[in-house]
Amino acid sequence: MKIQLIKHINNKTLSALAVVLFASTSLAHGKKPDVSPLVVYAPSSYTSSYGPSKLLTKLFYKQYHAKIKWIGLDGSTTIITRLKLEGKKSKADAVVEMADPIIQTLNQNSYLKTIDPKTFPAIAIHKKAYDSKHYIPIETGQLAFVYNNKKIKNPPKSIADLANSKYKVILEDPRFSGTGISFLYWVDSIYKKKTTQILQQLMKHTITQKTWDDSYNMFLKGESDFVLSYATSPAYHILEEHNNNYSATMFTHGNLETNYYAGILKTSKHPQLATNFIKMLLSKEGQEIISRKNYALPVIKEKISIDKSLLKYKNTQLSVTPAYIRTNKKRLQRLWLNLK
Amino acid sequence: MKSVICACISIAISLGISACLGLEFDSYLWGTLRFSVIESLLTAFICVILGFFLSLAIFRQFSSYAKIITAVLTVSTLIPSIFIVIMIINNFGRSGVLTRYLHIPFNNYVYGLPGILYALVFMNLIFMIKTSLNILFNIPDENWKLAQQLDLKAIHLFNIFYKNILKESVKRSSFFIFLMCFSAFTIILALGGSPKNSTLQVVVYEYIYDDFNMKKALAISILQAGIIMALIFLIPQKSNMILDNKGSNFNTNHKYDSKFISSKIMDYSVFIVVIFIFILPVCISILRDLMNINSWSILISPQFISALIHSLITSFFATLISVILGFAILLNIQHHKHMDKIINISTMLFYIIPSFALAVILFEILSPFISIDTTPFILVSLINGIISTSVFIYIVYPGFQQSNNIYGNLSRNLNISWSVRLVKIHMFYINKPLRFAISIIFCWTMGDMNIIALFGNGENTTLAYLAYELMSKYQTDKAELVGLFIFMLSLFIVLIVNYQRGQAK
Repeated sequence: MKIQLIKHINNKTLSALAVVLFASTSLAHGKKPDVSPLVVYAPSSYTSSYGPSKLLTKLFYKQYHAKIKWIGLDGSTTIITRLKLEGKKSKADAVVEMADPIIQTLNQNSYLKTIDPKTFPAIAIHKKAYDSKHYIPIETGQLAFVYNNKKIKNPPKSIADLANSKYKVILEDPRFSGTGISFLYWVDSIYKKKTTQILQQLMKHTITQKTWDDSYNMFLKGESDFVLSYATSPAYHILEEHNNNYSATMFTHGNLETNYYAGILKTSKHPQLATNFIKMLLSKEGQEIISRKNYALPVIKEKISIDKSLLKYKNTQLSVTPAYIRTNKKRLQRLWLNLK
Repeated sequence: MKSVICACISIAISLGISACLGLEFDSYLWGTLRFSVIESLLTAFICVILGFFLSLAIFRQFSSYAKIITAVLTVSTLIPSIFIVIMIINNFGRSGVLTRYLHIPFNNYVYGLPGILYALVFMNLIFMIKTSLNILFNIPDENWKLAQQLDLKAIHLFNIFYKNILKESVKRSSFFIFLMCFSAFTIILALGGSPKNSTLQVVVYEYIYDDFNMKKALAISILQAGIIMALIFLIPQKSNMILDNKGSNFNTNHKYDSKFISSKIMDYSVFIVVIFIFILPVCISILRDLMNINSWSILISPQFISALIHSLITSFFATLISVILGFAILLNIQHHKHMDKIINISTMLFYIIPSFALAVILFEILSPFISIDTTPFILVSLINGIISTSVFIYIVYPGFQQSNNIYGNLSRNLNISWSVRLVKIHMFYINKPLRFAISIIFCWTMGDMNIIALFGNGENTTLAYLAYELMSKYQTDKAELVGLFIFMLSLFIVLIVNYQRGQAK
C-alpha cells in the first residue's frame, strides 16, 4: 500500500514536472501542441521496447508536435478482431503493419477512410500490388526460406527442388499466419495446376507452426533446415548478433513480394493528424527507422540509407494482385487442409 | 437404454443446430473430429493407467511427500502450454539435449500424435493422481489393520482394495481428462506438425482468427458441447471431483504393503519410468534455463518488473471478482433443484469454449457498459474474473452444500444474515476449497495469454505476454526464464495459500 502511495505521489510529481516541461518547450517553439494523442493500433513487434514505436513517436513529435498513443496487439489478425469488436465505438485513428492477405480480405469500405495517394511521398512499389484508395504501403520485403549456410552449401534452386529434397522444413500455418497463406499464393502463382502435387511432396518433410514467431524460434532451436521467412531475416543475425551463418534462398523463379500497409480508420477523430502520421512513416527518417527496427525494405522512391545486409538476398520480385489474393484465399486454404 | 437415447438426442440436436448455423461437414471437419476423439481417448487411457500406478507408488513409498508432489504437479497445469512445448523441444527436438546425448531419434516422433500424447499426459496426469491419492489416503486405518491381521498378500490387496480404487478413480477423473484433451489447442498447433492433426478447438480458433466468423465458431462449440453431453449421459458421472478439492487426511500411518518385495519392485519401476520420461526432461530444462547466465538480466529489467506488478494486480482483481461473483451466485441459488447439473455444465463450458471466444462473447455483452480502450487492465481482470467464476463455484460448491445441508434450515429459522452465515457457518466447511480455488484462479489468470492479447494495450503487459513478446524477438532463452519464473511463483502461491499449520508436508 505504502509502495503504491509513493508510486502514486511520484507519478503525480513526475506528471506535473512533465506538464511544466512540455508547456515550456512548446512556448519556446511558439507552437500550440495538439493535446489528445493519435491512437494507433500496431502489432506488439512495433510497440515492444525492441520495435520502432519509440523512435517514431519522437519523430512524429519533432515533425508535427503531436503525440502518439500506441496500442500494441499480438498481430494484425488480432487488430482486425479488435476493430470488428469495437465497431463504430473504436477510438483508434490509424492501423499499421497490415499484411497483404489481412488487408485484402478486410471489408475496407467499412473500416478504412479513403485516402489520396498524392498527399504522400511517391511510392516505389508497383501500383498493381496495392491498388486501393484505403491503405498505403509502409514497408516491403520478399518471402524466402532461411537456412544455415554452414550446414547447407547447395540450397535448392526452386520451391519444387525444396519439395523434392529431404530437408526438414518449417512452414507457418496458413489458417493463422499471413506469411503461411502468402506462401500458398507464391506456390500457386508459379506452379498453378501442379500446386497440389508440389505441396503434397513438400508436406512429407514439413512441420507447421501457428505463427512466424513460433516457426522462426523452432528453426533457431535447430528443428529444421529451412524456415519460411523473409529475405531480410539474415540481416537481423548480421546486425544484432554479428552472425553471418544464415542465408535466404534466392529461387530462380523469383521470390514473392510482401507488403505491409497503414490505413486511417473511418472512426478517426483526428483524420488530419492521422494523415500526418502516415506522411511521417513515409518520410525519409520514418522509413529509415522502420527499415532498421523491423528489418524491412523501404517503399518510397526517395533514396534512403539502409544497411547493405538488408539488400543482400533481394531477388527477382514476383507479385500477386489484390484481386487474386481476395478470390483465392479460401480455395488455397481448403486445398492445403485437404492435402493427403 | 435411456442414457443411450439421451446421448443420441444430444448429438442429433448439436448436429442439427451446427448445420443450421452453416457448418459444412466436409472431410476436413470429420478428420478433426476423429483426431479429437482419438487423441483425447488415448491420453485419458494413458493418464488413468500411469496415474493410478504412480499414485499407488507415492502412497506406498513416499506418502510423506504426497502433498508437495501434488502441489508441483498442479502448478504444471496452470502455466501456459507454450512452455511445456518449449521444454519438449529442448529435450526431444532435433537438437534437443536427450536426442543429442542419448543418440535416440526422438525428433521423429515429437511432431504428430506421439508428441501430442506426451504433452497432454504430462499436463493431465495430475488429475488422476490427485483423485487416486485422495481415495487411497481416505481408506480407514481399520481396513489396513484388518488386512494385516488376515495377512493378505499383494494380489489379494489388489483385488480387495486397489481394483475398486482404480475403478472409482477412472469414474471420477477419466472424463475430465478426456474433456481437457478434447479442448486442447496450443499443444495441438505446436506439436501437431500438420493440418491432419487438428482438433475441433483448432477449427473454432480458425473461424475466429481468420474470418471473425462467430456463427461458425459457435456451431463448432455446439457440436463439441453435444459430444460432451452425450458422453455425460453415457458415462456414469461421479460427484464433483474434477478438481478434487476435498483434500484428504493424508494419513501416513499404514505401511502394511509398502514393504512387500513385489510392491517395491512395481513402485520403484513406475518411479524410474516416470523420472526418465517426465521428471528428467523438466530438470534438464530448469537447469538449462538457470545456467544461461546471459538471460538473467531480464529478471531485473524494467519491463520484467512492470510485467510482474501488472500480473499480480490483474490476477488479484480477477480472483477478487470471481470470489465475489462466485459467492453471490452460491448464496442466491443454493437451493436450486438442479444446482449440481448447472455447475457441472457451466464448468464444462468453461473448459470447452476457448477463453478467447468467451472473452469476445463477454465483451459483446459488456460493451454497452465498458469501453475497450480506457482501462485495459480493468477489462482484462474483469473478463478473466468472470470466466473463472464457474471454476470457483465448482470447487467451493461441495463444501458449501455440505454446510448448507447441516445448518441451512437452522440458520434460516434463526434468520441469520447471509454475511454471518458465510463467515460463521460456511467458512468452516469451505476454508480448504476456498484457498485452493483462490490459488488456482490467481495462477491461471497470471498465465493467461489470450485475453491480454486481445484487450491489452501493449504497455501494461503481463509476465506471460512479456514471454510471448520475447519469443517474437528471437529471445527464446529469456522467454524460457520468464516461463520458469511464472512456474516458481505459481508453485509458491499454491503452497503458501494452501498451507495450513500442522500440514506442512
